[in-house]
Amino acid sequence: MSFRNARYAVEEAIRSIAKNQLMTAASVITLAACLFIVSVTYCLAANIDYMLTQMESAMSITVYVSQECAPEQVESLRKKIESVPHVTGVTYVSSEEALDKFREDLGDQSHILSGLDNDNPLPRSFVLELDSIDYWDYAVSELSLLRDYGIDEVKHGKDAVNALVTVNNVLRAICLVIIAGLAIISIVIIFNTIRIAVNTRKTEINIMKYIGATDSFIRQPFIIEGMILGLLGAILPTSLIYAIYSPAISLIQSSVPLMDIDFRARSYVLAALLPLLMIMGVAMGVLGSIASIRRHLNV
Amino acid sequence: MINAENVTKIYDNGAKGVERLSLNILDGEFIFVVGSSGSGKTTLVKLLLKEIEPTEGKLSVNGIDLATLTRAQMPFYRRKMGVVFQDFRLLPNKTVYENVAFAMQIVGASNREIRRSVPSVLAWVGLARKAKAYPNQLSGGEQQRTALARAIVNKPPLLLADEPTGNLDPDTAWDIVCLLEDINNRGTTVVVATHAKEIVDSMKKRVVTLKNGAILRDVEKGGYSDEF
Repeated sequence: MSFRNARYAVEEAIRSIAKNQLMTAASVITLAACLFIVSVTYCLAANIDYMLTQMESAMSITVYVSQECAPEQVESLRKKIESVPHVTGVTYVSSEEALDKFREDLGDQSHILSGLDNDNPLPRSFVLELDSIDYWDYAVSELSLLRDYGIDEVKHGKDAVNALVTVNNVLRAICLVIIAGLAIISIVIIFNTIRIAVNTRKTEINIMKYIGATDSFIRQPFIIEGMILGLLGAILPTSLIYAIYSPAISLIQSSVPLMDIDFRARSYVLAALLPLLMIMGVAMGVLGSIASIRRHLNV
Repeated sequence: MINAENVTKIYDNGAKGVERLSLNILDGEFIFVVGSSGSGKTTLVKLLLKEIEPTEGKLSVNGIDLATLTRAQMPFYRRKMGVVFQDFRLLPNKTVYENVAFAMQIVGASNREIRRSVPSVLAWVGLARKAKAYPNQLSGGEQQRTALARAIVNKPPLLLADEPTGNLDPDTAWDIVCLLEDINNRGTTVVVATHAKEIVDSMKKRVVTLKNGAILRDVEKGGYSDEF
């Protein structure tokens, strides 16, 4: 497309938008509403995902070391545990540290533990972190192979983890379905707007064909019109999210005491949303235009 | 320029457009195609524009067999012919100047070429003063002259005119025909489908008379006959 043609196409697109202001406004607003729902869905998904990640990392496998294990055996056991794939962190907890922690947890009632200092029954342990919750089962089975090297017991909240993974997967699937559904609705909206624009210019397209205009020459203004509609429809929800995200998070945090879970920062959400909405908007605009003009080019 | 060999067009609804039509039009000729409504004039124009395909037979224009033209080649084929219709078919939201310039924009002419060619073509058809007018501010004759200017601004070797004077009063019709003859004198092949009897009779050009889709007569320096 030459510069001259590009200029012509942009001018024609703007002319058409100016002429069909009402229809343009209606479709931009509807498209913006769809993309806003997409944005909210994305924000929910991103934050739930983020919470799960935090919970995952808070969840750990504890490996208890057997009483008869000598200190140098403990060190070699640590090396063996560290070499298990997907184990990203190993923290040693001595009997004393375990007792201190226990005391701390009991708080006011910690006096019931007095007298245990010299005869500490709590076992030494390793607390493990994994790079992903998906490898939980694998790591547990690998660890059980190390039982002979001084492991007394491997403790893990497998069921809770599995439930979390399922919840996460279901949520992702639901989000995808919502986004795909809204994308189709948006394409239909743009399709209709451009179709009206094309219909009002049917005679013009016909004349252009007789004079010898190529299909792409005729199509370009409509595609650009669709792109402009798509962009406008994407800018509105992005601005809205920019304005309401932080207040919404504050509101949630103040009304629901959710332990100490962090939410995604606004900048993080927008960094993902902005390109997503722009690409979706423009892609849907272009697809809608191509679909609506196709029929009219066969002259 | 145009060569039709046994061209038949039967429409989907069974109506006959033209039947076994053979016609040879030479470069630089001026030819009237006459006949009553439904005789096949418009079908012939549509076939030449490749707006419709012949059911049978072979049609070639400028040495190009129309059956071999692909969809992508169509615009380039059409650029080699100017077309004028009875209903002018101007773009209503563009001025006279813009309507003519548009035909050049489509073929990718530069702004400089457009600024140079359009005013001279408009002056030639006598519309220099109306360059900024919109089609709805023009008389029928002025609209048809605009359409003529648009048809020839890219200097096509062939000009097709389908009832170009159909919507015009006799005087204005004459103006248009004189312009068509002028275009022909400059070397463009001109094919005019019409039933304007007086014009055909006084022009003494080649006349092809169609009846029921077939050629009834083909006469050099002929006239319009009422014997259909």
